[in-house]
Amino acid sequence: MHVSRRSFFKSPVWFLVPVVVYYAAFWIRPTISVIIESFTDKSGAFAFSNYVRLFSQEAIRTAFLNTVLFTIGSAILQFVLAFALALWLNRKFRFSNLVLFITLIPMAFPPAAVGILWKTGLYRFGWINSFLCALGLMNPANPVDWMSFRNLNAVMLLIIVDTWTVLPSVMIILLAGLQNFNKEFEEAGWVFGANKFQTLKDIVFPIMKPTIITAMILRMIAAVQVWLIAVMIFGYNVVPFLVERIAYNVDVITFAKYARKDAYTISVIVAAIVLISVSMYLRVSGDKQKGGEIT
Amino acid sequence: MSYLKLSSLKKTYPNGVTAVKDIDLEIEKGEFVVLLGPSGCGKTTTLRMLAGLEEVTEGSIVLDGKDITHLPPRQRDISMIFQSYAVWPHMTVAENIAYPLKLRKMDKRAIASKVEEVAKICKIVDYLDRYPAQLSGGQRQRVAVARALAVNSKLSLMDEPLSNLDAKLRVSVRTFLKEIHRNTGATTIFVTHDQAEAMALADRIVVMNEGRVEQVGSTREIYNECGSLFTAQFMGTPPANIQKVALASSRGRLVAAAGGGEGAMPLDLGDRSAFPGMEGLIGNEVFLAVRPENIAIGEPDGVNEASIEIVEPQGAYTILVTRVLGGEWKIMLEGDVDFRIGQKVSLKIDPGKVMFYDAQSTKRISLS
Repeated sequence: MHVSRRSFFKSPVWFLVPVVVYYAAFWIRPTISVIIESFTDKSGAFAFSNYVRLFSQEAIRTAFLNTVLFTIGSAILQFVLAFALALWLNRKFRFSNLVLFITLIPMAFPPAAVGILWKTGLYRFGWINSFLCALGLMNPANPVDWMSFRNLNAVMLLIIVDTWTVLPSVMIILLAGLQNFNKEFEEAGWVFGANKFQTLKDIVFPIMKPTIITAMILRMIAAVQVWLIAVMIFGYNVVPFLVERIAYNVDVITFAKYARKDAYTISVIVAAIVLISVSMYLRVSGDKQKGGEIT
Repeated sequence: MSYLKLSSLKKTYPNGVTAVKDIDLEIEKGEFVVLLGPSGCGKTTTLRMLAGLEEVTEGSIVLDGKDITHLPPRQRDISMIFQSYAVWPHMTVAENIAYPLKLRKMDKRAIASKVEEVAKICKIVDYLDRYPAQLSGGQRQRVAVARALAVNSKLSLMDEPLSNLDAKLRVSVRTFLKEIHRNTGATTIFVTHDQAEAMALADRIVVMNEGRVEQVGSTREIYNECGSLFTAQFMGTPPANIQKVALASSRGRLVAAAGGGEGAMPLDLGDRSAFPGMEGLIGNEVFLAVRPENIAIGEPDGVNEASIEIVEPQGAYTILVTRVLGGEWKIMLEGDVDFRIGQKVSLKIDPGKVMFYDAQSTKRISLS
């Protein structure tokens, strides 16, 4: 095939060059280096030794388990709460805009501030215990020391703190979806004999599926990468998560023998987990998109 | 006792707007009734109250001897065709038709045969396995009709179902809906703002304005015997020519003079004997309404002379715009007639078709 010189230089493909250069330099190259680092030993030869060493560490196995629990637990809790909240706010009652504004406040806090805010509550004489005592749900003589929570309990606590923080972002995506939702689909359900629950299950959920999938994927990716909240509240090395381990290796034990290698290797593992879990989720929930208009 | 009875129905929204003020209406079994009115007249709100999608503020709705005023939609035994069709996008055509039947706990065989039956009537048999996104607007409309037909409800509601179709399709779907009604005899309430649709479909038209019923009647009654000035102004394309006039008598003729008397030529309406019972009104101010097609045109003969200002050919008919009594009047003539702008003509008004309305109440003044 003959391509004239003129059309070659005039091809619109050239507009893509800056993006390609940017990704090659700042994205593909470091990614490849990290993968290579994780599969080589100190001498630079190909080896699985990094993975073998990592999986023999108790802390990594705990971190893996904690991360899985955190991802599943927070995804379920946040979806249920966010959808309920979105359905409620979508009804446009008298002060719905004010309520929407209030529910969005936690989104404005940076993770460090969230950590401090909750940490002040979790101490033996923190605001959570004061609050529970005021409600009569706790005996002031026998307060709970939330900060002493470890393992599963600590993960549950972090799920609650994380839910408080990110609920608005999940809710706002679902609310946007509901606001685009043609009310007549729902009304047709009611008119043709479905009760409120059947309409929600058979009509609203399936039609909202693309929006739900988007919100859940974004949440899952963020949940697998949890670390800052855990560190801000409990400190390093107390409730291990996979990405917490990366930060720990890079920040805390910087000069330990395998610190860098471990950090690279965990990075690869986290990336793999995110890719696998997202594609599994898509397969389970997505099946085929009907390619229909939503409105 | 009528089949469907709305008694002093009223709807006030939480924000204080009263959309429906006071509706009394009785509908017989098998009737095709059209609620017609401009936007904001309360016709859709009335339909939605019938469907149970809108809470009734006051009044009652009785369907087939059962008070349904406060029942949820699913317990009312109704079907509905929505403006956007509301054909569920995640279900195939067959699933869309079958879903309401499943909810009614029909068995699978019965559902399958029902789906096939209504699909045949609506000519969508070839699309049963497709998703709505793969269908055109007209085909989706047919799916919505099939779904409504399949449930065999006591009352069929239609909320401007033709408004999203293009002009050509609208006319053919209109015929299709009428044919379906002829075959099923389902009691139907149809909401529209399009008078052509209303006149073509209705057994009875309910003209609504500002949350009230303005007039109820057959197409012929609504069009030719407008009970109020509003109906005369609303019905017809173009609507009736309306002018506030003072009636006078001159040499045995009934004459209308422009209100205010800005020197416009008075209009000769015809021999007084053609207007029995008008004696009492001579000297009074009334609204005069004459439909554009009830005015004929002749060579200028000194009576009701006017000059033609605009000519609008429409193929089957022609609309002429002239100035009568200081106002703009339209005249509709059959066929493609040739007139020059500025040409002088004489207007011949059909005395039997002239309508008068009270200047205060705007209600029709009937000739005895």
